[in-house]
Amino acid sequence: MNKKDAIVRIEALRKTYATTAENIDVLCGVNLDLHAGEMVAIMGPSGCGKSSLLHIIGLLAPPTAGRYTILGHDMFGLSEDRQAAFRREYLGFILQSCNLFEHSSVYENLEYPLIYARVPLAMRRQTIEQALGRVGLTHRIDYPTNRLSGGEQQRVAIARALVNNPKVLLGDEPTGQLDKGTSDMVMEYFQQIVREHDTTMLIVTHDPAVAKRCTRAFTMQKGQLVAIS
Amino acid sequence: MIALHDILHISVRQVFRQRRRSLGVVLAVALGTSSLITMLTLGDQLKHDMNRDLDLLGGATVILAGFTTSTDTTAAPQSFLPETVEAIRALPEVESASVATDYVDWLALYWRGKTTATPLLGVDEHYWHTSSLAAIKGRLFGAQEVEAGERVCVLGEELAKNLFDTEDPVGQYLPIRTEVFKIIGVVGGLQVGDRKKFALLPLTSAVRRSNGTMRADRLMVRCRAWDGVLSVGAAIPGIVAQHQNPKFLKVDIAAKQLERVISMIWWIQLFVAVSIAATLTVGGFGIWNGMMSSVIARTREIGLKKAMGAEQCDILAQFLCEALTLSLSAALIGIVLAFIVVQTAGAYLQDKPSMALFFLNAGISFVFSAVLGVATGFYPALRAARMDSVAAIRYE
Ligand SMILES: Nc1ncnc2c1ncn2[C@@H]1O[C@H](COP(=O)(O)OP(=O)(O)OP(=O)(O)O)[C@@H](O)[C@H]1O
Ligand SMILES: [Mg+2]
Repeated sequence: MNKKDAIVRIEALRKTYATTAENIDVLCGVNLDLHAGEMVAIMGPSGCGKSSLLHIIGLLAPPTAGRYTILGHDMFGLSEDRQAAFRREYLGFILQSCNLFEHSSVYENLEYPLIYARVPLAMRRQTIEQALGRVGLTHRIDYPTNRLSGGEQQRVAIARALVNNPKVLLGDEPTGQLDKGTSDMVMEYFQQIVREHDTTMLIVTHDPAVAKRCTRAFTMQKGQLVAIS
Repeated sequence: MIALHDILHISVRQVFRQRRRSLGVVLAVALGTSSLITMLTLGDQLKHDMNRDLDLLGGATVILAGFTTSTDTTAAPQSFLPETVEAIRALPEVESASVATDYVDWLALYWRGKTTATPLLGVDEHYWHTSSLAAIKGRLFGAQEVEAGERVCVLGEELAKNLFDTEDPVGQYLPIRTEVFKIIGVVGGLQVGDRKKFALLPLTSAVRRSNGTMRADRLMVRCRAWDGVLSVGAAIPGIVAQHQNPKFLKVDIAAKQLERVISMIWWIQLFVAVSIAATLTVGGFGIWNGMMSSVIARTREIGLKKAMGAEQCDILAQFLCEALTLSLSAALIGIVLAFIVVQTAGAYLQDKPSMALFFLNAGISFVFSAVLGVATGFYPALRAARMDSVAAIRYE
């Protein structure tokens, strides 16, 4: 595939939350192309609609208007189950905190995406070990997640997002709760993954240091994306 | 939808890890199921056993029949024919049937220098079981002795004491008019009543030596349980009519006692049924409530699963399967409990409980628990499946 072709293409995307009091226009015509192997940061003040955009790209919420394609497939008007299928196949999520399932081991956490993607049992352990290997946590595979440090937990969450080899990784402040050192380490993993697997990554962040490590960075102003040079 | 073995695996694992939370609910359902199985399996045995005990108080399950020819002097005297009695005995609700003489021959028994007024009664070999009499000394006469009309007799305990005091009457000979009868046993116990003063002879011997005053004209039918009494009582005239003239037949049922027993049993059954239903309802609500709070507590988990591509039916299946795991494990515990109860009770009851019936009831309860699990788990599971992904992911 031509590297110039966008993996994700968003045009004139709008999102309006209808509440009883008023209609809140959060996204007012967002345009964004994401290419393979690039890492894009979105910054902006709290409540400006960063998470809303990420959820729409992640097919978790419908936009009010606009065009949205992944690899040329139109994402508009898909059934819930088809959306779930696209999430399984193309997308990986990493959230700010509480990413992992409680009372479960690292292995069990990483197994869920494979279960939903109908990966046969025999292939799961090897796949999970590979994904953990990318974040340097293979030795923790049978650990209960509540015994991991915050940084380790976030790395497990990354490994879980990677386990199905998604084309697009979506991170909503994935380093938001980590200290500077751990945050740097996690960002290094992201960069390495994006580089090695030609993955596309979209990161919502408040941290300028994180944004600096990205290929491109935007800030959201009045419901539109503005590029930061 | 995802593979069945994965759904089973993750649901059972989840329930097992949260087992302390659901322990109470599982025990409630287990208790309900075990009482249900026990009642269904032992119901007949308990009824039978209770029947025996209740009979000590009043003989509510005994039907008496006779002929009214003694009050109508124009009619020829009648006896119950053996085939009539055989046909009545063959009814499924009948435990035993016995014929005896209605006429009691009062004998002035001269023995060891004094005269004792002694009532004589002729009875067949079924008499003992039908009227719940047991030998306290020696033995009771059987079919062979009745058929042969042997000269043996059984004494009531008071008569035996009057005649022999502390001496053992068994093996002694008693002169009854012109014949001599060998005493083979003494009857006593709770059921004996005024027969403690009687001398009981084999029916044939009594009829033979009575010169026509004694006949096999008294029929005593014991039913297996009180609920068979009315139908057996109603069936007797028809059966008699098939074999002999029923014109003067009279059938007596202890209707008052029967009514009391039936209403008492009805109340007991109602009480037991209500308790079982209450236990199962509490258990069902427990599952429902537990699943509901579990869905809310696991909002974040549901959001994450949807984000990683779980479909609605995957989430629905998982929560439904968890509810089923709860209710079915409760059923299994209940079945094991019921098995222990049934086995233990079997050792105390006179009849062995039927294992086939037990397994049938266990199967029914298992299916019932499955229905309970689905019924109580469906709505919470549906709520989980329909949960808005974004709201679930934003939930902390
Ligand atoms: N379901 C909803 N109904 C109404 N308003 C909503 C809803 N969801 C979000 N909003 C509003 O939309 C705006 C954007 O929310 P969003 O979570 O996207 O902001 P954000 O940029 O991610 O903020 P933060 O940096 O604090 O995470 C907020 O003002 C929020 O109150
Ligand atoms: Mg946000």
